[in-house]
Amino acid sequence: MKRFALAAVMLAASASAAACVGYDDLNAGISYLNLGQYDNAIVWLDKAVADGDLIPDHLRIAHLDRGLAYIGKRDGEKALDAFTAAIAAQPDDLTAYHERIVLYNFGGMLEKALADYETLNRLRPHDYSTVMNMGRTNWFLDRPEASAEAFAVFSQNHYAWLWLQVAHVRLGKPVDAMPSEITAATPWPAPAVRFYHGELSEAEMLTAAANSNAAGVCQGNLFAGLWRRVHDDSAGAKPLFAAAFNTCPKGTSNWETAKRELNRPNAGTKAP
Amino acid sequence: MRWGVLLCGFLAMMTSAPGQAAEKKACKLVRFSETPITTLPDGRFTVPVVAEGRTLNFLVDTGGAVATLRNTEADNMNIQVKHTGNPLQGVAGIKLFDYAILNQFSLAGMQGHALAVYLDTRMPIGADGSLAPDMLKHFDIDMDLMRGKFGLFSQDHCPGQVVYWTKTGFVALPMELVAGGHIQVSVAIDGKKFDAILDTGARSSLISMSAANALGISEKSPDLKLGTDADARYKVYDYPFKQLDFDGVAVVSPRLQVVSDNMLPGRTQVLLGVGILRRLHLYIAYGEEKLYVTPAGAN
Repeated sequence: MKRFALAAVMLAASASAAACVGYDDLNAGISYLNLGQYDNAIVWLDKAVADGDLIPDHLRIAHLDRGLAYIGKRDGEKALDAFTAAIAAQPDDLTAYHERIVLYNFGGMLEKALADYETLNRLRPHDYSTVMNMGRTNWFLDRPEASAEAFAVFSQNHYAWLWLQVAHVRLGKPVDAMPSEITAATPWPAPAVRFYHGELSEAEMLTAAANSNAAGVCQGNLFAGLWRRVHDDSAGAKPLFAAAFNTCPKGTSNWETAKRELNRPNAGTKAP
Repeated sequence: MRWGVLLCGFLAMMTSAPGQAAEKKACKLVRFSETPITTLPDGRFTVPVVAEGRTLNFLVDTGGAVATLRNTEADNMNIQVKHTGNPLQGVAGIKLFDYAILNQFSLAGMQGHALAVYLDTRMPIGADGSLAPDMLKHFDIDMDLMRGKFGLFSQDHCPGQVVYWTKTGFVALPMELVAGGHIQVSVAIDGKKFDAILDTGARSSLISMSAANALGISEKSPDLKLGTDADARYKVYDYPFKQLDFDGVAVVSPRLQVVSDNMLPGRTQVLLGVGILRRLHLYIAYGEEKLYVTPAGAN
């Protein structure tokens, strides 16, 4: 069954052009962004914003996509402004904070990154990724107490538990009991947990890491390096961080941690 | 896993909606809910859901099969992750083997329980999971992307009486629910008819090379430009199509990429992603198996 008048439908299509100019321009901008044509995307997204008739969600995405287009053009400053405008358009949406944090971290603006992580934590509490990033950022800022507080939220998770022990040792506290359900047969990262708990030597842990998978190799070096570092063996930590830097996938939190630890003044040669 | 059984909570909720019987006599649409849409950077969109007490954003994916959840959310919810030998196969050969059961789940305030979700490590940023036809098909779906609204309606209504948002005309297309509950309709591209799958989970719209051949397009066509975003296994081309017609509602200059035949699943000729669908107001009458279409700005 088809109940319509073709002429009327086509009229509606043309009438819509006047009623939703900003929406049409936004869609053009999104299409150009998806094509990787960043200059065209910015032109149409700027027009969409200037049209003044976008609903708040669309105004947010126009600014957010402008930011992504500027990242495509490697213009971090304008991208930062665009993400900030997206947040202003809709302060309770998470995506623009995530994008802005990437830029803050890239630019070494850790205090600002931490502030955005804290906002994310308020908007969506008990998020493993956000909490772990808060813990690591506080660690990079030499705030082991705040770092420990964050890692403690997910302390039954093996990675959070490992980081929590790093912070505890730095604070002069004893190592916690292991999370439940860890045996000699428990796969990676359990060997790292057992190493921190004193059941395995560093060499045994690194062997287990090498026998696990690519992630294990990266993480084994990283957690061994962190353990040496908090036990005041910066010289011994350096080659382990270098190995982690070379084996962890670029851009991941583990790679970022290895890079930052290598760049600490007492950690030896700087990472490139 | 028995997806139909796991959705029993939703079905019970739907059939017990208050006032439905009285409204039916008046032949009126019964709207269960209307929720705001959150647009993703690539034009796809999410709607809010509550899973295990957490408010999350789920991608609306008419081209999916079953609901998915971002894998890290299982950590946040502290729910048990299980492994299955019956993986969910996605685009480009991606397979999902892990799943979890959500004991509490609500969409637009309507409660469901014991919902099985596959865990996905590759959700787009801004999406915490996805809603697929296994759930969507129990409702009529109103997608007003221009006004940022997503409506769930009862399927119990008089045939043909769903277009509430305009009096200026609409198109009602017969739609077929094919494998996975995917919506297939007939569209005309530059004057030639094709079967097309509606996929709100895809940002791009695609036409197979063999379907494009029927329009006289070949790899030697001068207007066919090899794209840069091609997977090594497939070829993706841009081509300046003039018009895509939903039997009277036309999208002019649709961005439709020509792709290797093996990139599209099964016998799919044309897949319409959100880049084109954003230009329309769609009402998917799953019960009636009709797709109601107007231009996005119709009012």
